[in-house]
Amino acid sequence: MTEQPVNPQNANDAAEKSIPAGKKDVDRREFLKTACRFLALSVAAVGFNRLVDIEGGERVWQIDPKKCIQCGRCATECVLNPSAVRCIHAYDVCGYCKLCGGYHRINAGKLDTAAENQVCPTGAIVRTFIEDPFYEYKIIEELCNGCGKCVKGCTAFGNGSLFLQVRHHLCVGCNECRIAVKCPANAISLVKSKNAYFSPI
Amino acid sequence: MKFLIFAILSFVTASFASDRFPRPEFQTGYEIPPNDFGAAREIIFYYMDVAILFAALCLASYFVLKKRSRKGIVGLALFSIAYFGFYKKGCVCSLGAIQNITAGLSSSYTISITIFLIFILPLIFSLFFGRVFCSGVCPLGAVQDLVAFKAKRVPARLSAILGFIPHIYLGLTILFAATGAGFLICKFDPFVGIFRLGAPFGIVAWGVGILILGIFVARPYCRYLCPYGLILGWASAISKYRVKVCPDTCVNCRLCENVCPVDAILPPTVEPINERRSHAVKRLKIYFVMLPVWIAVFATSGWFSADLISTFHPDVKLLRIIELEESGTARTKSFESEALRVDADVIAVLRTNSERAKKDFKLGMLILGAYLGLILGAYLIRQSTHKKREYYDADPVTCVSCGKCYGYCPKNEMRNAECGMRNAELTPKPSSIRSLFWLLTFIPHSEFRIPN
Repeated sequence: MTEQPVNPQNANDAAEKSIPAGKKDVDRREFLKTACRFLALSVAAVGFNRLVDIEGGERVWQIDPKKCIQCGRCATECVLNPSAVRCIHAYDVCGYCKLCGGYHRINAGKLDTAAENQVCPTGAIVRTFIEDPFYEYKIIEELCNGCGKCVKGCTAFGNGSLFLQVRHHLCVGCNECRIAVKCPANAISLVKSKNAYFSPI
Repeated sequence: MKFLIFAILSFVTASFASDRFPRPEFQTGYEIPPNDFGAAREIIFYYMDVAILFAALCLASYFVLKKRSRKGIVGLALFSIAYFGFYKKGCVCSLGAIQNITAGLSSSYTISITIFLIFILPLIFSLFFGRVFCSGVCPLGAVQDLVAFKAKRVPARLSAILGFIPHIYLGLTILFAATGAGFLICKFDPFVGIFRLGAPFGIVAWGVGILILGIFVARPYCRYLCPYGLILGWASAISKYRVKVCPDTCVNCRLCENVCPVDAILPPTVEPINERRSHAVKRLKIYFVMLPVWIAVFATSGWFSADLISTFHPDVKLLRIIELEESGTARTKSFESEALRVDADVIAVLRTNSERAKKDFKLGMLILGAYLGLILGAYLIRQSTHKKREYYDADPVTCVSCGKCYGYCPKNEMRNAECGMRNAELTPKPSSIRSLFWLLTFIPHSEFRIPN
């Protein structure tokens, strides 16, 4: 290698180096790079055209109450502690029952507000007497942990006015929702934000 | 909003709830309270995130190329950790957006304009200014950059071997996202637990482990795991401007080489080479012949390992659970089968889906294997080619533009803006043949060191 003759290519290079500064010197590799850059940019433009749904807006994680089986994983699998999933009460659907499947345990001794008779492990449901025989049930969101026990009771014995939902102001919007991965019923999916709280079906 | 609530209510009343009990008619004038469904995040905030990303990338480019200032980059890194890390809690990041794009390409999954921009902006900047995203915009990179107090040099051979991991990781990520088997990058994101100030023990431990390792090995995640860094590196290889050691002022003091945390400063080559030319040419020929062999071998092994890998697909997993339950081996019924409300039709559909997933994995692993074979072949070819360098220079592919070398360069004070910005090679030009397979040689990512 030491005795290698002078490469004519190198001699050319040396000559090219002395080109006056004002003159544009287009090098082979620079040309290739520019070509590749333009190719990459056009691929990006095509990709934008093909992939992006502009009208759809942003996507948010939502639970489909119809698919939900209240397994309780929402309370434990969320990256947040307590979970961003909370129970929501649709008052319009509620029967205001005295015996509430979402409030009272199945074997509750008395239909009162004693802790031992409640389904909710955190005492997040407030029961208020309105008029005989109607009671209002209100969820205190700060106490709710999204376990879905009340939802199970209400769906089984009542009108189904309680349901679990991902709360927007709590959800941090993971790219892949950890609860969605663990949800046995595939009830959690990305929904266009303008359709939020709709069931995606 | 009113309309929304109305629409939801009509839906809930109509199809989801069972009207076991009629709505009470109150005598005491009680009014049914309005429903609190919460307000969705305003769209403007999503656009603001993208605007801040763009501004941060512009600033990074300015600090890296024009100002050549490490201080500016550190300031930006602190901001990124605070904003993209702790405030935005890490999601959606450019790394993870790879998966959204893949899912969008392979299925009916649609992506919003902001996710597309979050994915593409750092790449476009990389095409023009090198990996400025890695320097101080990416919160994962920024965290590791700030903890690398006692960075040691990783042995070249070990570094080369570990350098294959990102290729495997990128391949598997794309495969999993394309087949609907999940988002691997999100699952194994080391710092998301730290940014959220709380996560399951495993995730936090993984993040803390990477940070502790990061004290001694600079940016371990960026160098030996990050799949997005690979793509950025490819874009950076053809970038218009990039971090450069100015050849016209370089005094070959090798201070930059010593301080570079990611070993991306390439020393001048030792001339002449202690190897007979005929010998080197023969080796290169062998490597070119071996290239298709590697591809075939790796593709075949990919094909045969597909069945094993496909067990991670949710449909395949679920079918297994159901089959176990049906055969009576499993003791308890799972929530999954309860949710499926097992009947023959559903299982038949699940079986078809599972078969399709397995088939997808076969094809995917074949392609992934071939790609890894190509990487290995290209790496060996690159090992055998010789690029003459008279001065120190930064490798455009692996340099993360952290700017540590700026403070150590005795000539940085001259702040040759021309040099920082201009990318024209002042070192001898490559021969024509090398230009042709140059595109092949930067794919493997790790720069070769000539055995002397």
